[in-house]
Amino acid sequence: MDTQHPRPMDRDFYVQAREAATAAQVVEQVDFDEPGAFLLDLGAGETASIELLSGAQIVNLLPFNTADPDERLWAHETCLLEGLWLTRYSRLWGTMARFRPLLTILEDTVVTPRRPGEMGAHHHPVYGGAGTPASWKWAGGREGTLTTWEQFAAALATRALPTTLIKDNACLFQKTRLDAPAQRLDILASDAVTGDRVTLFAEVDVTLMLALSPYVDGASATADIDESPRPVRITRTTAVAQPLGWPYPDMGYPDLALYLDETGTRATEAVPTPGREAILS
Amino acid sequence: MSASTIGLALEPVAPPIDQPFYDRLQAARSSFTKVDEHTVERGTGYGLRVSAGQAFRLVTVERAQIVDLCLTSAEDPTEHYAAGTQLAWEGGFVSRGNRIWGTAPRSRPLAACTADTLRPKDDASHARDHVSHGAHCNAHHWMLYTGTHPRTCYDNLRAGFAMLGLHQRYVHDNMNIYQKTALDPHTGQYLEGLSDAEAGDYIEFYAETDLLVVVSLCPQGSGADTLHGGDDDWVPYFDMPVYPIRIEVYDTGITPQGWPVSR
Ligand SMILES: [Zn+2]
Repeated sequence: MDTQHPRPMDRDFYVQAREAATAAQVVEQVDFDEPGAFLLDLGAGETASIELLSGAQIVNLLPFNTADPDERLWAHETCLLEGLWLTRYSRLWGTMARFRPLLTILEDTVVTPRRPGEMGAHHHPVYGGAGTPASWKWAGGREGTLTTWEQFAAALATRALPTTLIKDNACLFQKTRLDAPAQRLDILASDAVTGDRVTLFAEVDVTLMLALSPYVDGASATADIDESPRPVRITRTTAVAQPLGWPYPDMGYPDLALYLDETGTRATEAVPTPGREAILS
Repeated sequence: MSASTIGLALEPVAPPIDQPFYDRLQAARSSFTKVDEHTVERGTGYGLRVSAGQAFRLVTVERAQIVDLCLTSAEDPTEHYAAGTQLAWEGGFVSRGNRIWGTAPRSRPLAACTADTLRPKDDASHARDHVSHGAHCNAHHWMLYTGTHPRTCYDNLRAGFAMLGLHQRYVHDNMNIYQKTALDPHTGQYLEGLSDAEAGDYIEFYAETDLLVVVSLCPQGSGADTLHGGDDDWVPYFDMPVYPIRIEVYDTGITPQGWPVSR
């Protein structure tokens, strides 16, 4: 991996989009409090807000290109580009071959107070991946609880999509602290409050796969959790701006024909990248 | 400081482990028998099959060389290394004693790290070698800095998977062996370091199931040269020194215990 690779960003564009989002027309609003992931299709330029209705609730987010779900959140590369924790104007990047922004955060109202011993703790880590049935089980979680992985799997099934599309997800409203020597993420009680929200701008036609985490606000040991997830409100608005597209003009960009087939999706022939294949002995 | 003082709520996940099994495995290491070896040439990738109960080593030949390492179940190639689970369960680095976890729904150990001869030279920062996460360099990274791109890790991994009959969608987020880095605990940004590996160092993994092992020798070489040191300090990719790695495969004589195990 390459650990420093800044990408250009037209900050003014997002400042204006954020302003426009405050006055955008609502086209869809759902209060969501049931187990089972929610799929929300967003057109390019539209926004979606996730707002807490009854205290802190971790909301897991795995976005994918609606027309080509193989292009989905690349949490590891997003971490390289944006850092571990997401906030206003963080971009959520998609997988190869296009490796472009899928979403940009226009608003994040969560405040992280500074408490003794919590130096370095922040909300919205882009790395998830622990919301599996095994994690829940080995941490002593209550039997019969639908984990994030199972919720994602069920939601994908409604569109006849395979579970192999599940990758590490972003964890909105989750508070974590990085244990520096071990580089492990400690989950802390979220500081988010009722009314806090995160607003996302769709850079392309994108589907948000959202699941309420059974860990609720992260405040209780897994074995002690007997509370159901708390409700959130999901609001979609009309387009607030025409996305700039990617790459920006005059930016170096690889020839995507090396990776995509004639349908515009990643080629599924088991061959090396053309022109870069003479590498095996 | 106790966990409760700092507000730590969710305890680390502790999957069951049959420690006596891994003790026996360690004790048997001196009788492992080498059955195959292959030197992966500079700037390339490679794919091989390693049977359950075998072990494989990634050996530095001349000096440190960043190796992107993918592990996939040979039985079901949709089951592969799970970087997020690894980070959550075992932390950000891989070394002796760590199990290497696969994707849900099985979420089982694909391998176990049984040896790591690298010795950190400087613990002043939190950066260490053998990072458990971070994916792979690709054409986009290199285009940005050099205007062109070499055989990037994505291309090398794609070629390695092709050797095994699998296409590019099987390339997954991987371990970064002989890469020294860490996330800054305050900013969440990556810190860079130079690998502490010397020629002859190796890291060894025991295959808990039949594995497809795919490696890429990163065109960034040892990490000692940077693509982005400053306006006058960019190193064109074709000038960057890249070093070979030797893969050695061993019969261990120890049959995996299977999964799940009783604690
Ligand atoms: Zn690389």
